[in-house]
Amino acid sequence: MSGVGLVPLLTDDYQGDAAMALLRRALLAVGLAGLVAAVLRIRGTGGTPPQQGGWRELSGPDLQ
Amino acid sequence: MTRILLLGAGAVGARAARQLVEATDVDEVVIVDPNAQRRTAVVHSSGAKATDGGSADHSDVDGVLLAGPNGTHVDAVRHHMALGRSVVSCADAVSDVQELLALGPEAMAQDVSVVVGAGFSPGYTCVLARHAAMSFDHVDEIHVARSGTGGPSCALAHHAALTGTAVDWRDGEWLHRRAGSGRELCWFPDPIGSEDCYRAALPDALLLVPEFADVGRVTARLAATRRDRITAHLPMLRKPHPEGLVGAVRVEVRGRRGGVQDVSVLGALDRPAVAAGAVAALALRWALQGRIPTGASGLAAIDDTVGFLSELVDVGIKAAAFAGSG
Repeated sequence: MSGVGLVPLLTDDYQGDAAMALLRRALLAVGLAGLVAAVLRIRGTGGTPPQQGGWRELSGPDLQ
Repeated sequence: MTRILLLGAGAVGARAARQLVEATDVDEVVIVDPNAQRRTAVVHSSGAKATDGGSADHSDVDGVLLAGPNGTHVDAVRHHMALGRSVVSCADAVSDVQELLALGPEAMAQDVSVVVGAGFSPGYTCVLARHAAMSFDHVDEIHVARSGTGGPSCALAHHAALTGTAVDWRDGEWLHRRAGSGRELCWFPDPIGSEDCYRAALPDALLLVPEFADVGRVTARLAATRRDRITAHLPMLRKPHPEGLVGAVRVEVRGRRGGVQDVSVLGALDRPAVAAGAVAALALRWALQGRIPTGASGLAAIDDTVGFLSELVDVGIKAAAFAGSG
């Protein structure tokens, strides 16, 4: 007999399947994170605006 | 009687035609464009002074404005220059500008002015650089940035510029760097505000360096999104717009005045094709009036920047100065 009742035995195959599932989940998580990062990098903006001063039109003395 | 030959009736050419027909010192504008429908539309919208170059005689024009796409200017300049006509070119490709500037000795010999890169940027930015530099005892650095595009040709040039080789000037040497590198956050006049700008295949340094003796650094950057940079290596995925939206330019001049290091930042905000058309038209009128030195040069060769900028203000092209610190 290979087992008792409904309790599965921890065979090498079972351990391999669990490891693959974990790997697949990890890869999926890394992929999703990369996708989100790529979207933010392409569409995101940044930078701190100047805290003082601003643009003023050239006129009068500037053009003399 | 002053007759102008306008080659190219695209977004910039149409605006230049409008400026030329409204000038009192221009009597006729002969418009030539391979696209008959576009040419006819511009002729009809430009009033009585505009004539269709498809059937007109071009033998007795006084000056020529080249507003066609890059790659079509050098032979045209050679042809008209040999006939003793001053020429203004809106070409902004590095190769075109290099070849046009190389025609300088020939233009001097013919005693004509060949104005190279007469648009919004380069062009207006060259005038702003010269204007800002006048308040310095010595200019150390000039940094130009631009945002936005004019017509479809300009959009194609913008696309291509992000994949070429940037030409910068540093300490007496030309530096060739990869376009799309060197991200810098530049602040343009409102409402454009901040834009990420990158090195690109732009001819500004080629036009500015000869006009500023002993300048240490000259760079030019182009505003682009990350999407622009990623797709720059692909063919344009969709047809460019007939005309871009509002664009802006920014010129930062660093130097010494009164023994102190200082910075002057000038800029402008406008539709690039409108501003380019106005700058090119005024440059040609000034060339015909003998107010631009003979030879081949950019608009930084102009001495009377106040006069040039004031005449542009009269047609709605206004410059701005950044005051304060960031």
